[in-house]
Amino acid sequence: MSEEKRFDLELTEQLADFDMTALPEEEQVEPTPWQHLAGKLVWGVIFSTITLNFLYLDVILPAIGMIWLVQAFRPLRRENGWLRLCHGLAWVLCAARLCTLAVQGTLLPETETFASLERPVGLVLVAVWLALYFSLWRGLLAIARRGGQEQPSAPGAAMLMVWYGALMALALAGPEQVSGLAFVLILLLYFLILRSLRKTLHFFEENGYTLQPLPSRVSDGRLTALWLAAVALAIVLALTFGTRYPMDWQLRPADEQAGQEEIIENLRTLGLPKELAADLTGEELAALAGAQRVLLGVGDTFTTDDGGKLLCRSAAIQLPGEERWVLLQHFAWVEMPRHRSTEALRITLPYEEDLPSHVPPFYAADEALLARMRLLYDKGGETFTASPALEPMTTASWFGDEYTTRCAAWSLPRQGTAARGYLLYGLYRLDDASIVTVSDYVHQQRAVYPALSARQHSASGFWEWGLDAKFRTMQYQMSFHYDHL
Amino acid sequence: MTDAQLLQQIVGGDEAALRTLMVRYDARIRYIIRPFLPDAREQEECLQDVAMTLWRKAGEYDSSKASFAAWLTVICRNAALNRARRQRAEAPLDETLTVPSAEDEVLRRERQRRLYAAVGQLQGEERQLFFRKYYYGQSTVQIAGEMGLTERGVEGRLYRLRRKLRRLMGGEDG
Repeated sequence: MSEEKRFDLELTEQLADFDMTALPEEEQVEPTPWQHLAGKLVWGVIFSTITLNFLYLDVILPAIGMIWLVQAFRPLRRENGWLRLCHGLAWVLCAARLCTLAVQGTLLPETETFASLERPVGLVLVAVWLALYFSLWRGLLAIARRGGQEQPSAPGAAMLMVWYGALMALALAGPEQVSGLAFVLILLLYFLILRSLRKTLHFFEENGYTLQPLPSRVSDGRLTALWLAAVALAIVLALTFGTRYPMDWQLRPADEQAGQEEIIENLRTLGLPKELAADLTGEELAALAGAQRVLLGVGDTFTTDDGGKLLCRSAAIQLPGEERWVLLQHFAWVEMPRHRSTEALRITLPYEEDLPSHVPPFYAADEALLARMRLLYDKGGETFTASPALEPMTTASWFGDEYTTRCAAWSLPRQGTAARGYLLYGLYRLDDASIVTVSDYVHQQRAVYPALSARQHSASGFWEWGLDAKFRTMQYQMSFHYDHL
Repeated sequence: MTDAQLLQQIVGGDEAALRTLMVRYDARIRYIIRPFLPDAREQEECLQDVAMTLWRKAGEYDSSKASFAAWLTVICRNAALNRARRQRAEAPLDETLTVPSAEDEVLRRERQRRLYAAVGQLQGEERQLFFRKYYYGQSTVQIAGEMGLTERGVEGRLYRLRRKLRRLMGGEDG
């Protein structure tokens, strides 16, 4: 007999006379097949539903809760069909959670397609949760029945299902329907229900309702570690590959400005810096034919935390005709920022200012030269361009009212230098008014989870300006006083 | 009716109360005795042993010391262990077996004292594992299923646990 086996036998023999009840009650060990499972089940439910919005606990705790639910049902999957269903549904919820966490790390939630899917998918998940609680209830009843309980009951599990259903109905009706007191009552009810569930399980434990848990090939601890690693990987992949807009960069034709040399020369003579004129398209230059005056706005340079330096400049170009002006707002990364995920430019065009009804408009849009944006960068001696849409964006102000501005969103190229761009539009000055616009260039300085684009950050309200290290809002004012126009 | 009330009735000689208690805890009793007595017929006989012990000792239960379930667990384990011992005693004697001397008995008691002291230092999962294996006689498969571990994981933990106990008991693995 090996030494190991001998010691093994000795331990068993030595404990033969051991009286467990002689120990203090808290030190007594009474194994039941329920102990481990009950803990996993109750804490799995708590963690899966709890939301603590700090230190990423809203991500970590539900992820742990989901896998604990799987672990609670895994050894029970042969007990009865209902618990087998619970096990399957717990895996479905796990997969859904993984997908949700990954999607939250991308810009997909910003898209309209995703927004239209959000509600139906949410409803399906609620149905899966309800099915899980229903199956749990039925599964526990089946165990109690098999154990000989005359009137089998598992009130905790049944109430959990009703509570969850009611909570989801309230959520669909709108969170504003829930007052502070109702919220406290809901929370109180939740803990009472969980206590009841724990009591049911404890009753099963005390009475030793038989279970034959199945050993697994992967331990609970390892499964939790693997699951958390999968969650972390999904989030990292999402943040790496999903936080940039798909950009349609096109090679800029070398002869794009061919035939416009005279116009370029005229603009240069009038004072427009040649690097600004050099970025315009041939069509835009053609629209500037016969320019009479060029006024330059005050330039401004901004630095970002990730090593970028942005130079903002502007020019007002007067065209022949009655107070016809073209506004050019140019920005260029003099030093490229290290983090390149999302950028946004938000502006209210002068002729789209929301004026009181009794105030006549100061400007009118030049239909021949509507607002457009163009981006450029250089790589390997070539220039690439893209034209992001300048779309209306509604934002709530400090005072609760909504206002609409224009916003363009894009991603800087991963490689390349001298990223730059401009906003160009024509207008008619209807009154002796100054031309003043304030634009916000928002640069994302670091990865954010859940993913938030510069555009979303900008839409979230201007009270965050300068306070959030994840974004840098660079406010540039283009101003041409009426005395000079 | 509560367990305490049923016990009182058993003390008073109420057989129906004993039957009620035995039905109520049937699953638990079987859970405790099964690892010691894998044979179904032996288990049924052991149930009778447990019922007899309950009948005799109902008056000795002290609720301040332990819960009824814990007290019953000890009764079940002892009944199963005694039956398993009797089974072994009925088996042919090992020719090489020697009767322990008084000195052996003193040494055994000393090692037992050291073991109890060592076990007192075990906590959490180690403590669960130890008692499940060596006190309740559970198999590696059963422990793995009920504690969310793999069989290999249980074996590994038991190996480390034995080394730790040897060290705590002043053995050679220190």
